[in-house]
Parts: sequence; C-alpha cells; structure tokens
Amino acid sequence: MKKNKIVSYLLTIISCAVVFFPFYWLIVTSLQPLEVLYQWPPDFLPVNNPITTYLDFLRNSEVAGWILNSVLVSGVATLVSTILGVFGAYSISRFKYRGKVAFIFLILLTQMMPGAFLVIPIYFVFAQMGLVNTLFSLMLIYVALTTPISVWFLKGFFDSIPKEIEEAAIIDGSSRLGLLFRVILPLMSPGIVATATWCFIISYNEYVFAYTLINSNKLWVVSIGIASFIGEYYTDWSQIMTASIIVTVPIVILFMVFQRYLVSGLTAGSVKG
Amino acid sequence: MKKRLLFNKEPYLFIAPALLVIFIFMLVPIFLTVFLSVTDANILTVRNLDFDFIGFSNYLQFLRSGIFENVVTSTIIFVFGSVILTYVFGMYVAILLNQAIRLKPIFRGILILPWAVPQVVLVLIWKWMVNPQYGVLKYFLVGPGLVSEDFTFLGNPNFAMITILIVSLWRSYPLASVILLAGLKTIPEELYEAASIDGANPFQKFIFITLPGLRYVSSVLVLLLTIWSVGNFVIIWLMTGGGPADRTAVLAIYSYINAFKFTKLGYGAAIGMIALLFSLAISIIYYRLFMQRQEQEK
Repeated sequence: MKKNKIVSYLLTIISCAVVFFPFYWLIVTSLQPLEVLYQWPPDFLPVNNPITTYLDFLRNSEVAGWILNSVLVSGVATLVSTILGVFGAYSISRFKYRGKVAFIFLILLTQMMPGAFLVIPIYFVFAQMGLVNTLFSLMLIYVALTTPISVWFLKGFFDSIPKEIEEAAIIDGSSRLGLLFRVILPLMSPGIVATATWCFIISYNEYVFAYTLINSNKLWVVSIGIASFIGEYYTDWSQIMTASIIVTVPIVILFMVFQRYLVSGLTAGSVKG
Repeated sequence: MKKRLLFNKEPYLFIAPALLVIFIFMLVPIFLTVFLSVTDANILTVRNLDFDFIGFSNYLQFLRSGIFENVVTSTIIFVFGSVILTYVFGMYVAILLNQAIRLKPIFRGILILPWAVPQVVLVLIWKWMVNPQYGVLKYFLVGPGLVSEDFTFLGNPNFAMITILIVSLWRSYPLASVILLAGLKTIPEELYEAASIDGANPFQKFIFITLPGLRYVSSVLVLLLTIWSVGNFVIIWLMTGGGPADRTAVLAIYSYINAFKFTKLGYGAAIGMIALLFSLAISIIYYRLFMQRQEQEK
C-alpha cells in the first residue's frame, strides 16, 4: 500500500514537471537578454528582473494596444453570446416543443465546421460588405463562434436547477421573463460567469479569423500581434516570450479562478449523455 | 401541472436569436463554400463578384494534382496520430488525478495549464524549443548523443510531423483528461472493491471496469477529437506552414494556403469541402462502428 502511494506521487510529480517545462522555458526565455539567449549550451536560469522587464516591455511596445483591441472585441462578443446563450439555453432546457431535437443537433453540428474552412466563405461575404480589416468583423465572428458553446454550457447549468422553483413562482403569478430574471438567473450566476469566461477565452485566443480579416497593425489583436514577431530571417525570441507572458497571465488567472465551473460546464453535456 | 395544449411560441422566441446567429454564420457559409468551390473566384477580383462557374474543375484539379495523395496521407497521419496520443495521455492524466493524493488542486492546476494558454503562445513556445540553433530540446538530445549537431526538428519531414503531433498532444490532452476524469467519477467504487476481493490486479481492473465504464464518454470524446484535429490549423501553420516540401500540409493548411496565399478562393473552397466530407465520413463510419451499437444496448 505504502509503495503504491509513493509511485503515485512520483508519477504525478514527473508528469507535472514534463508538462510544465515548456512554461518554465517560456518564463526563463522572457527574462534573458539576447546575448544569454543565443548561447550554447543554453542557460537554464532567468537573468533579468521580471517586474521591470515586463513593465518596460508593456510601456515600450505595441502589446498594450493589442490587448486593448482583444479585450474590446472579446468583451463585446462575450456579452452578446452570453445573452443569446441564456435565452437559447432556457428554451432548450425548460420547454418541450417541436423542432427542439433539430435545434440541438444544429448547435452541435457547428462544432464540425472548423475556422480554417469557415474563413473562406466568411471572407467572401465580408469582402462584399466592406467589413474586412475592421474590428467589427471579428466581433461578429466571435459571437458566432461562441454562441453555440454558450447555449450548450448554460443548458447544463439550467438543467441543474430544479423545476419546482419555477413552478412555484408561476403559481404565484410571475411571468416567464420575470421568472427568468428574478428567480433563475440569480441562482445560476456562477454558471453565467463561467460561460462568459469561457467565451472570452475562446475569443481572446482565436487566430485564424484575426489573421485573415485584419491587415493593418493598428487593429491587431493579441494572437496575431505575437505571431508577427516571427520574421523570415530573424526572430527575437526574447521579445516573443515576454509579449506572450504579458498576454497570457491575465487569461491564465481568469482560467484558474473559474476552473471548477469551467470544468463542470464542459463536462455536463458530454458525461450525462 | 397541467400541460398547455395551445401552441406556445415562447420557447421559439427565446431560442430564435441564437439560432439566427448560427444559421447566418455557420449554415449559410457551408452552402457558400459549396457554391464557391465550383467557381474560379479569386481574392483579387472577388469584391466585384467577378468570377465564372467552372463546374467540378477545382475538385478534379486537386484530385489529379500530384500532391493530393500527399495531403491526404499527412491529414490521416496527423488526425489519427493526435487522436490516439491525446486519448492515451489524457487517460493517463485522468487516472493520476483520480487518485486520492494530497495537493490535488495544485497538480490539477499544472496538468491542465496548457488548456488555459492561448494556442498561439503554446505553439510559439515549442517553435522556440525546437529552434535549429539554440533550441533547448535539441540540447537535450545532442547531449547524450541521440542526434548529431546539425539535426533540425522541422527540417526533416518525419521529425516535423512528430514534433507537430507532440505539440498537438500537449495542447489537447488537458481537455481529454478533464472529460475522462468526469467519466471516471461516475464509475461506482464498489466495482473496484469487489474486483479487489476477487484478486484482480490494477491492469485487470482497468481493462474490465474502467474502460467499459468510460465507453460512452470515450466515444463522444474520440469523435470530438477527430473532428477538431481535421480542422486544426494554428499548430501546423505556425510550426511549419505546411513544409518541408508540403509534407506536413494537411487539408486545412492546404486549403488555406490556396485560398489566401495563392488567392485561389474557389480552389481553396473545393479543398475545404473535401476536408469536410472527410470529417463527415469519419463521423459516420465511427458512429456506425461504435456509437450505434452502444445506443442499441442502452
């Protein structure tokens, strides 16, 4: 029994080390000046002071502008798709009606349509409408990408709230909408926050559409901004890694804070079956 | 409560906005892709709607081009490779996290970390780690003499694909683990206790209790992983851009390159359609093989 425990811990710790090493390397690289970075054998310890390095970089590079663009686009998309998701999920979770199965199927079907293929017809339409190279085009796309996920997540959270609560309120003469806003939504606020977080993360991380639809570097969002550091002949890896840390830390914090809810939202649909 | 017999339009009104968004941005584009795939639309002239119908020429051109086999082979290797690796490692991590150990929240936080980080950042970290001159992974391999000094990960077609598969694994296993972990929690503890009394070893318990218990979760997960990896773009795009010599150009990459780099939107759309049909075919075969039988058993 004792020996099993030790093996368990050893395996877990080794796995964590292997999985974490690339992140360690990200941090170390971001804190090394180029002359340390480009030496062989590599140096495994950080050199620069993290606080001044990151603050200097934030001040002297365009990364703050990218973050602003990303937050604006993802924020608007998250707000819209969460609202759409609340109503859509409420409908699917609480009512029985004709066509519901088809609607659910349609929502799941969207997962089969990856961005790399979707981007061709979308580009075609947006080019006609003059939407290419606007942040508005990204907002529209991110609403579209996150709405199905928002509906699916929230359905799981709606399902977890007993129907009796509503039935009591209906008998008391409350309207459907009043019921939704005054009784149900406050009960599932953690679920709504988790869904919104997830939608935000997806939008913030998106690459293909941003890369294809945005040309001018004033409108760059985080994902394409960082990738733009890669040059054909020369790449400043220290800069890339510093920028990566700056744009990743807020998202990781968000993720870790809501981890529990995110996991329950994600697994509600697939596990219950 | 009495069921209302009148037609109730409330649920339709509630779901209408979400469905409208999905319809406009997901369904309409599928039809548009079909439409574009039979035209010679080019990005440079597409704004003036200046293109002609050319029937199935795009499809035929792709099927007859020497690269077709190459692209399909790469796609199959990438899809099956990453699904199998992700499932196996995801299962391993799920089992680790399902044990009664201390500090579990910390271990879990680390083990699912790659899930939280933007995909672009994940790929760039690896691109730096496999850098041909200063990459730390090269250092690990050169040190014990496993590879020579002039070895490059992404210059060699086979190693390029292996590297991409590893990045893809590192990116997607956390999600697999989380879903499998949720599935593990639904398997009653009594089954394992009974098996212990009967003298079953851990391996037997895994084969005869864990795997059957995870059947439904696994089949949904594998299907999702397959569909996602057919459409995965960012990892290969940023790691190799499809190279060397198009050897890592999967359907998603090849479609994108043709549509946006070579500006042949129609040709790219045709390749995209082939990828979609590929993904659909896998889903149907898969459904027939695994999921249908299970639903009948239910």
